[in-house]
Amino acid sequence: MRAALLALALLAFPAAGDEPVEFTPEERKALLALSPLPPPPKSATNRVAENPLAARLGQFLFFDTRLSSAGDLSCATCHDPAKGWSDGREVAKGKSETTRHTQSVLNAAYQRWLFWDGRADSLWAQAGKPIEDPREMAGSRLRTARVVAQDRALRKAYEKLFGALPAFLAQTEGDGRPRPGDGRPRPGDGRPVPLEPGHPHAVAWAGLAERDREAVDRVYANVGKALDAFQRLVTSRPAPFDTFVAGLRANDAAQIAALGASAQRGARIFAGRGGCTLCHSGPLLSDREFHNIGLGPRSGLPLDAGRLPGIELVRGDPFNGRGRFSDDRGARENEKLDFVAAKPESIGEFRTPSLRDVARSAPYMHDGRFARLKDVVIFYSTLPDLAAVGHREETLKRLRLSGAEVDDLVAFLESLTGEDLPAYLKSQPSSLASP
Amino acid sequence: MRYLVLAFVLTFAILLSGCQSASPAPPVPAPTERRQATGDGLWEIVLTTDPDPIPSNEHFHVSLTLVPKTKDAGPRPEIEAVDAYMPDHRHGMRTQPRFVKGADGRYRAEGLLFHMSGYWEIFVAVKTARGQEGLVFPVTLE
Repeated sequence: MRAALLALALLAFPAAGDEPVEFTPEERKALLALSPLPPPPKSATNRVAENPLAARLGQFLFFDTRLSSAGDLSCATCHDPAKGWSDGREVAKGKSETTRHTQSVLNAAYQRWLFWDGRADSLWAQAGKPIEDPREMAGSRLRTARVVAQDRALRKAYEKLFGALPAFLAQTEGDGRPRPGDGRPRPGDGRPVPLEPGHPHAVAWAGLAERDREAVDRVYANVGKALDAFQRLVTSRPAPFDTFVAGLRANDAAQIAALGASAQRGARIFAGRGGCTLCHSGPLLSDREFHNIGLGPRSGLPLDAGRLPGIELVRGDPFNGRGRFSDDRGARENEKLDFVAAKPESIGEFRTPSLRDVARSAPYMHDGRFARLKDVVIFYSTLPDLAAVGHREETLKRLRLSGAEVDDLVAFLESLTGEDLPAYLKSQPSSLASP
Repeated sequence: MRYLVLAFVLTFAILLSGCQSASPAPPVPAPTERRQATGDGLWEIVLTTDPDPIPSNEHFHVSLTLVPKTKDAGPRPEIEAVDAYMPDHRHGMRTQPRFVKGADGRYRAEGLLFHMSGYWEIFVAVKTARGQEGLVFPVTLE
């Protein structure tokens, strides 16, 4: 009865231009393949990936500025929950400005490779990189290990999960807090800096005994695993689009109406003649791989080879799934490291972003060049540039969309915005006890 | 007498369990075999995949077997490489398969991955008595 009344209401008050949208069997099939979003895939290389205590520790550290050199930056500085777990900037800025846009960590747990260039093969391997990047948090693995070892609550939480911390970490000077004032690295910082052996961090690192370096690396990997466990909770919640697809599946008019006519027309272009699902495939709306879409050069930014150098970096990463800190070096998920290959088309490729909740994390593209979703759609409609690096994939053809069709695609992309994440995930927990 | 009854019951139970285990297992579907003949028509390459059908955006492996088409087919050709390509998109896979030569004209290529739906061609480089040639196995991934 309620459904009948709703149908009557919809018939009685059709919005302007709201003609019923008909989907071909192929479009319908393509749309059904995009929803619902399942839980993230398991991680064999991180044994605490689904441990709530690890997630709690990871969440605490995600918002902890003590891991940065000056004590003023945390993961959440650039991955701000209020900005779609990104930063709203064109290119990221931590200690200084970088050359790429901050990717949202929302749904990162689904990805096969991490970063725009895929230079990490797991979330736990990824987590350590920005902490040590001099342009981002500018911290170090030795500082991170000391922060954990010298904070009673962190130490307790860590040791419950991973066993006893090395004694020397607690015995060193300081309390893990950065020196106020000039923000220069504390004497306690240390990390490998292969290209700068004279860097203070490198000197401190070389001054450690080999077994202590190994111990610090292990703590650092474990901190990454806790951050991984937390970020597995940062996933998209159901969106109007999911209700719409459930309606398509069940032939339920009320659920189908979760999407307005404009968004439905956009969905038809997306899954049909737009060919968008070739790369934005599956419930993540990403094929988790890399493509060169032919973006032109950008003033003020260097040419970026993208995936090509990323392949060598991920293979050589001591924190990858085949490395000594992996909890299952023989896991099947590590096969990707064996088979991934640098090819001519790898030049200038960047990872396909998930489109779930995409409206929350403007601006767009690897260099943040487009302020609005509309600009992105117009780009695919017109393909105005010659690729700055490499060549554009032949997959892409100018869509030549009308103004109304551009608006329809934008309405569809906005319909991928899920429910808000619960507030308890969006800030540092008040304690490390499990909720 | 009691032991006789017990023995009878046990024997019956064993026979019954044997009958149960002998009940027909669900039929295993025959693997999808893709076949292409060499240019001289003397040999055929039989290609199967694991898993079958080919999964979307997941690794899979390919097995290749050389089969003579006639009694006097001559020396067995050698398979030298396996790759895959999307001709319409003008790009290939993001992986480099690991190629393993087995015995008796059997080969295996591990680590193929079709990351996009559409028309693919699995390309097999073969060295025959007449020289090198490429055989193409068309695959449409939905």
